[in-house]
Parts: sequence; structure tokens; C-alpha cells
Amino acid sequence: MRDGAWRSSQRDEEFCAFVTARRTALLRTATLLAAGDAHLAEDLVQTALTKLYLAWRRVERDSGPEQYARRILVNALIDEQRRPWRRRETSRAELPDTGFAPPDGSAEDRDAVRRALALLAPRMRAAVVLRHWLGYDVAECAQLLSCSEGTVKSQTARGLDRLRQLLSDELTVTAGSFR
Amino acid sequence: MTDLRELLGNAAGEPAVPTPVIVSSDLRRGRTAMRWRRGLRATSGLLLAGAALAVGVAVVPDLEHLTAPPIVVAPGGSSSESGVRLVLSAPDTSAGPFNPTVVPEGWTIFSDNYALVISPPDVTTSPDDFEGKLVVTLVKNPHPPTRAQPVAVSYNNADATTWREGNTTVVLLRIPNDPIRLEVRAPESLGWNMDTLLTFVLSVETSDAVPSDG
Repeated sequence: MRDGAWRSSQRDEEFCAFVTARRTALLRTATLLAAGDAHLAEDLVQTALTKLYLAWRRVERDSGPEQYARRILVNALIDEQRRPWRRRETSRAELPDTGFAPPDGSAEDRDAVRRALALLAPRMRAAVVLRHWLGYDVAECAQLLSCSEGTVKSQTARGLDRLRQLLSDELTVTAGSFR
Repeated sequence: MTDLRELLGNAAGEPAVPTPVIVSSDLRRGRTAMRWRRGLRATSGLLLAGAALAVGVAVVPDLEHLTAPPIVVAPGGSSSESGVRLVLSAPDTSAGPFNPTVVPEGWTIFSDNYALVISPPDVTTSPDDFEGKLVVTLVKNPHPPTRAQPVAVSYNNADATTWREGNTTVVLLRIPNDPIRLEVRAPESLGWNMDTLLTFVLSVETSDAVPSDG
């Protein structure tokens, strides 16, 4: 007989517990994927959580809600960047002259890194964030980005080179961390 | 010296812990999306059934891409001509994790976490016995045979392929933005034609079901 109401209630409870526990972490990841664009980051998180709610039962038994939400974050970012009104914005070859502040404060560092991330292509940015912020291995990144492991390696390497280039004048970054 | 992970951590910021208002807003968006999806599926199923009844035109295979002999789809295409009449499911009945909006009148519906089993009125064998029954499952990694043929589906960007396995018609349906596919297997003896099959399967809500690996 119908236990739909009970299942719905259970889904709601579990979903709310997950959001309470993990929304902040998702928003931090989304902030990096959005290169510091707080509005876009919030949009990405809301999109991910809505899709997560729809797929809650399946996701819970499959890859887990956080993994699923991260995948949606990445896909939503890439979809967002494909929108025509989004393509008309940003994407500059060079950093703005007024950009980077000296590395003597975390706020300045934060802004510098965000601006540098904004100059990476979305997939490249996602590869860097997945590999070096979330700590995914190459295979996991490839699965999340729906591409080959070779593509992940090349995107990550090029992304790090670009970041190093962009940040080298402003920050001294540990070489080891840029592998 | 600055570690990249530290830099990224700093750039990620320190958002506040979500308030109950934010959490409830996320929940409300999810519930709204769920209602919308269920409504859309129900509407699509009923529209398909209505269109088939009114026009009497079957949903036919897309012949442009055929590489094998076409599957013969029952002409006429109305639910009554298929020998199966789809009716709205009663709101107080449930098929477990699979929740069809329309059901074949007089048939028995059983579901566990893995399959939706529809038995003709005169079949009373165990639900675990799929012989002579229509079976719907979710498939995570489907492997349709090369002879599978596309079928036109009047649903928002959904697509379907179909093929025969002996006397059984198999339909694989993909819903947009969902990597899981819905597979329905209908023995020919049941008398379901293609449009009735698609109308039924498009009405199935499957969010709580467990996909097989295919």
C-alpha cells in the first residue's frame, strides 16, 4: 500500500540534514568554479540541490549526494557558460592592469586567485578545482567532467601553468602544489 | 611560500552556515521541481493517449535512420485497439518506487525497488515470475543491440529506441538530463502496441527506484 507520504517525509528529512551539513562546502566549491562570482555560485548550488532532491533515492544508493551535487555543480557551470549572454562577458586574454594586490593579506590573495581563476576556461577551472581543491584523482575528475583522463591531465597542467603565470608576480606559490 | 590548496581555500571564502530559512528554501525548490516533473509526465502521458485516440495515428519509428528492417508498429494506435485501456491510477494506490500516472485497466501492478511488473487480468503467478508480463526497469548502463531502432516520442527531448527479442518488444527510453534509462519489455501476446507502451512508460515516476547495471 501507499507509503509515498512516508517516503517523501523521509526524503525531506534526509535532504534537509544534508543541506544543513554540506551546503557551505558546496558553496565554497561553487565559489571557486564561479571564480568568485557569488551570484553565479549561489545559482549553481541551488541548481545542484534541486536536482539532488529529485534524484535523492537513486543518488543515495549510488554515488552519494555530495558526489552527485558536485557533478551537477560542474555541469551547471559549463551549461551556464554556454549561454549567449554569458559568452558576451569576460574572457580576457590578459589580466586587468588594476588587478592584483600585494600578497600581504588574505583578502588580497583571495581576490587575486579569483581573478586568475576567472581567466581559465570553465572546464580547465573545474579540472583545477576538482584536482587541487577537492583532491580528486585523475580518473575521478575524468568521470565528473565526462572526458578522458588524458584531457584531465592536459587541462590541469595547462590550468596550473596559466595560474602560475598569472599569480607569479603577486604570490609565491609552492612549486610542489602546482604539479 | 603559499600552497595552492591554501590559496584555493582562501579564495573559496567562508560562507555562513545555512540558516533554517535557506534550508527550507532549498527544500521548497526541490518539492516544486518534483511536482512539476510529475505533472509534466502525467500531462504528457495523457496528451499522448488523447492524441492517439483522437487522431488514430500511431507513434511510428523514425525511418530515416533505419539500418535494419523496420519494426512493424500496430496501426491505428489507439489504446483500445491495442487491447489495453489506460486509465488514471487511483491516488491511494501505489506501485512502490515506480509510480505510473496511468495504468492498464483491470491489470495487476506489482513493484519492488528494481522492477515494475504488470500482469494481465488472467495471470496470477508470483510477481517474481516475469513470464507473460510487462516489465519496467531502470538501467544505468544500457547496451541496446545494433539492430535497435529509434522511435519518435512526443515528449520534451525524450528519445527511445526499440528492438525485438524473440516475441518480446523492448523499448529503451531516455528522459532528458537523466543518465538512467527506462527499459520496458512487453511480450507480443499481451497486445500492447507501441503508442500505448510509450504512453504508459512516460507516465511512470521512478525517482525512488534502483537502476540495474544493464
